[in-house]
Amino acid sequence: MAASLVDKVMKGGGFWPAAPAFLYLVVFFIMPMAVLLAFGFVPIQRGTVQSANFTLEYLFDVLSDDLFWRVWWRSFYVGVLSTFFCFLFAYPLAYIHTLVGRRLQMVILILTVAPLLTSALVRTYAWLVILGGRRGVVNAVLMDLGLVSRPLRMLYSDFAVIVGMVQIHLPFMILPLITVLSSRDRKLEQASLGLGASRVRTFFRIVLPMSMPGIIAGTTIVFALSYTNFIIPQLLGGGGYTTVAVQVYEFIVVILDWNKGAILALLLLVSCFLFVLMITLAGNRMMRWTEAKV
Amino acid sequence: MPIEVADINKHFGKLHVLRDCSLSIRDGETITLLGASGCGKTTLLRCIAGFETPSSGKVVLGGEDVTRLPPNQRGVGFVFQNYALFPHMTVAENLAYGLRVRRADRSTRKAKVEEALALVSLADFADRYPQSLSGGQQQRVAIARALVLRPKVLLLDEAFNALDAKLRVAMQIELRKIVKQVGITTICVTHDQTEALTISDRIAVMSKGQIDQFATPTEIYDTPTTAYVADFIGAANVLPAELAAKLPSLGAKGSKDDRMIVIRPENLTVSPTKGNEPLAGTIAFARITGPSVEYEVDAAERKLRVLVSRADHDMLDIGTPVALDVDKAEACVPVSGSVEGSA
Repeated sequence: MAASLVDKVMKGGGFWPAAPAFLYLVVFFIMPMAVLLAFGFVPIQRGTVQSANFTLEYLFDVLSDDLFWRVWWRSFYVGVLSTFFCFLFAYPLAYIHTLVGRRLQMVILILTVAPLLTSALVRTYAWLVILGGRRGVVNAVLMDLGLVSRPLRMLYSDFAVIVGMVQIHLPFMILPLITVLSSRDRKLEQASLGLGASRVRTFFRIVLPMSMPGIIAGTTIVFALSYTNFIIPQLLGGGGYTTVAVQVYEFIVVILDWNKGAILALLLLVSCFLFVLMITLAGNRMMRWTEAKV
Repeated sequence: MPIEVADINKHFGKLHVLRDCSLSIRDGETITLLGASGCGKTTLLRCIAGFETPSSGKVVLGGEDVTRLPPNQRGVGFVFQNYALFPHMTVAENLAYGLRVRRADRSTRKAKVEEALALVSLADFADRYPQSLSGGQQQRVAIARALVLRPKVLLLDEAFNALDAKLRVAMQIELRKIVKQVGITTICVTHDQTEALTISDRIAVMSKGQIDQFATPTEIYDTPTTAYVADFIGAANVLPAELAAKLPSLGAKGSKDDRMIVIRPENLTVSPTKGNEPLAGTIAFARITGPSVEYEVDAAERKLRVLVSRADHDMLDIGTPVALDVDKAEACVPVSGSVEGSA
């Protein structure tokens, strides 16, 4: 029995080589997740499950609360805007990467990956220093130049949160775009030029649709990260700045209302999954966005 | 549309890939740029298409100097080696692409696309995606995509390479019919001599960035001007003139300088030796190729190929000492240059 199992693994066949990772994920990821989500549907007091009676009470409580929808809306638009700006900055850079020589390509790649070597938390704190009050870097420069007389209020706003999100999540947009753009077939662009199309038309009708797999990968990753991020809104948004992720933290750690915390986590997870699914489906359709019926 | 290529040179850094290439192509003519890989034939084609700009020289299409024009302003149809069909568009959309660029309205597009698809016998494939087509069908789509714009010139870069042998010949004949029907000036690039012979009115044989000879297939075969051309088209024995002079029927033809003499295998003859012939050898290999016998003869420290009709010839055994001669002295032509390995 043992020998045959070893044989199977050595041949690389079947499920067995994945078993350790699978087991790890079940025990340390899926089970805690299931437990957490289950907390949304049974009564809990002081960290103890009161009874095994299934109830939708907490779910309805949350969904009927105006505050929840306002908080959700903020999570949503922060996610959308961060993804949009990431795409706006990343696409030209990834495209340029495929046009320049090897040396410059290396420089772009290193500059893209380098920020990942520092923890996101540290980089978020760095934004505090850059954007923060009177002595923040930006305000100091603006005031020294005489462009503004009083320090601008940048920190603790949507602006600060989105700036932070974009900077921290940018590599996750750039890398898939570079991958898909640098492996593209340049002959298709020449064919388009040969058929009389301008460079601009060639870009919008050939290059952009063909890079859709990278766009889908980048936007889903960045949206999922931004929509559910908790540190950046917490630090750069300030005390009154609440997103769904921040609320999950507050309900579970601060208020100790595990029921609502679990419900919010569930809603965040499910909605995030739905949005990712929608982006993927929409992206696949948009590959042909330029094609009218012949 | 007539095409004039005048003294084109092209450098890639230190590489000099095209040297003084000139071609004069008549309206409606189909020509082939033929040569081994790396001879510059694709670069020359890309210069004509506008994907490369020559370092010096001119490209003139129908009287207009287009040397500095980008490809999208030349009105030239180009078929790529791997067809470069747009994978996110259907066959019909691929064909309509260039028409939409030209702002053709929908009904015109539809009519022209249908017409072009009918021309390449793919009318039923309009709504399929390129990936779902066979190699031959993809190639026909690529040709149709170029032809639907009614270009004055059609350029094909190794367009038959990806097809299997049988389909390749069928498609070559098909292409020849289509371009003659449409009456379009066509330039093909290939390294396959059979393809060149099948589809061309004239062939330009290229080596090392130069055009060695530009002539009809018959002329190229019968009177090659260089040893390279002779060797590239068909089989050839390329002998130094003083050695060729030893062949009794050939005599002193062309032996006054250090040129080489090309003798096609079918012009060489072998007969059992009598012992006193000036050029004798031994049969090293013999095989039947249907109507003829092909010999490899070791003579004068080289291997000569001989092709003899079986009609009036008894096959000789390997090892037989033989005397060599030619049957038609005028079929042996002096050429310049030498061919490594075959001489």
